Amino acid sequence: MDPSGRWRQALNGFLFQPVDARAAAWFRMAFAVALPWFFWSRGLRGPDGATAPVRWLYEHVFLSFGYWLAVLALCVPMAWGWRPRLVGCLLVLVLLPLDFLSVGSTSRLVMLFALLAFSCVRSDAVRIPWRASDRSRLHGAGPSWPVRLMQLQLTLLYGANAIAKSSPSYLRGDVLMDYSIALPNFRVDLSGGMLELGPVAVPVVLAAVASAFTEYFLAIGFWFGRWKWITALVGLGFHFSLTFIVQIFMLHYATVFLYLAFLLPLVGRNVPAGHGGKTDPAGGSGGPGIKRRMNPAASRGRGQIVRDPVAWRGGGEIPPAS
Amino acid sequence: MISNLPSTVTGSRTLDQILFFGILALMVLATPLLLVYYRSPFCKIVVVAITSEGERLPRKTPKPLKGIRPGIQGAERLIRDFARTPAALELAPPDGRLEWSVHFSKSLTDTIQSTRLKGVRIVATGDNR
Repeated sequence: MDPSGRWRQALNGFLFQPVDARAAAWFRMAFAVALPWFFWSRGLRGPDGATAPVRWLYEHVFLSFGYWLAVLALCVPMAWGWRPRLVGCLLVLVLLPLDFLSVGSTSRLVMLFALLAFSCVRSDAVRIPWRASDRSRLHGAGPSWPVRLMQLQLTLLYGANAIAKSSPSYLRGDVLMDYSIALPNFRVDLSGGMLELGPVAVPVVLAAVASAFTEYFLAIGFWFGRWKWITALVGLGFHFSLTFIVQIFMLHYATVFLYLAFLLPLVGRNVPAGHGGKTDPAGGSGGPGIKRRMNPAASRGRGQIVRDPVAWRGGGEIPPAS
Repeated sequence: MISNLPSTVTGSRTLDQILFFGILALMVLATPLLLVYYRSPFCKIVVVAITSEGERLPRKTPKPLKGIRPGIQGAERLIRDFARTPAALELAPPDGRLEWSVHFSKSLTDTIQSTRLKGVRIVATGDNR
């Protein structure tokens, strides 16, 4: 196969693996519960420098309790699995104005993109995940590319911050020292060059280098299956320790929430053997005549089977199982 | 025949790919908005001469220290280096001293506008003779 064909094959494999319906249902429910909390906006202000009509809109509509109740009302059918794609898209539109508030726009932007991506998942393939039978899991939740978008969002968040923090002034500790002087949400004074955490005093330069290095690790670590749980633990520790240094409005929680996109078995999961003769447009089933491929990287010795959707790119009849 | 074509969102794999790359492009474009605490706040150096009677006399900020620049630490280093030079001695009144201060932005969204610089940090008030 020529190189471009190999790239296309790899891309299709990356984008069109089936999404596990039960994992998607769990994620959908978690998302529906988390959204009203992430977008709680009472007491906040509209965008700085807004014109009078826009200010009026924010004060009387978008930041009102009734608006938040409307968001909550939309999250209920989403949690239940009633037309989650439609409800998800509606929620994106309804929540978009709240991304322009004076505080917390970063975390909201992250959640909005995740919601936009997740709206493309057929997350109602299983409505109640703890009641799903093996049969219902045959109907997959669609292709993996919406999940990949959420994963890439997390990678972009950590990766971009790591690259931005690779400047000499940051790695010297100057930036952290400056912020501890300038910003009221910094909980410690680093101007003396030391970060005091209880009985331990750490040079700020060490803290700065460690934070940049950690963000590089978090940007990359989740993509390696064997490392994802360790990466998640490192991330939790990183964000937990940050809470002692600086108060970041919701960004900690939004970031950790996206860990679920990697930790839940959403993509490339074992799909049980299908029932002969049935068509499955969702593409989530196994069964006779279905070409299977062992994926040693994913199996970890447990014999996990991963469908290779690329095998059917050319269309036509599926060869019988050998 | 069992149909096991992979599923799509839009019904067409090409459209799916367009949608994927479209949303990804939006995410990449929005990435600068996700950067936090990576760059020092902007600041401005101000110098005031204080006479032996306590009178405060504003002085023009010397050329090497003029303008808006990022970084309080950097500004402090510049002041300390400049304060040792003969040019600094010329600014100080006889029997008086110079008070250096760094005015910095307190908001991450503040742009390079001196009128929005609110915080003040006194760097050196000693005798500059």
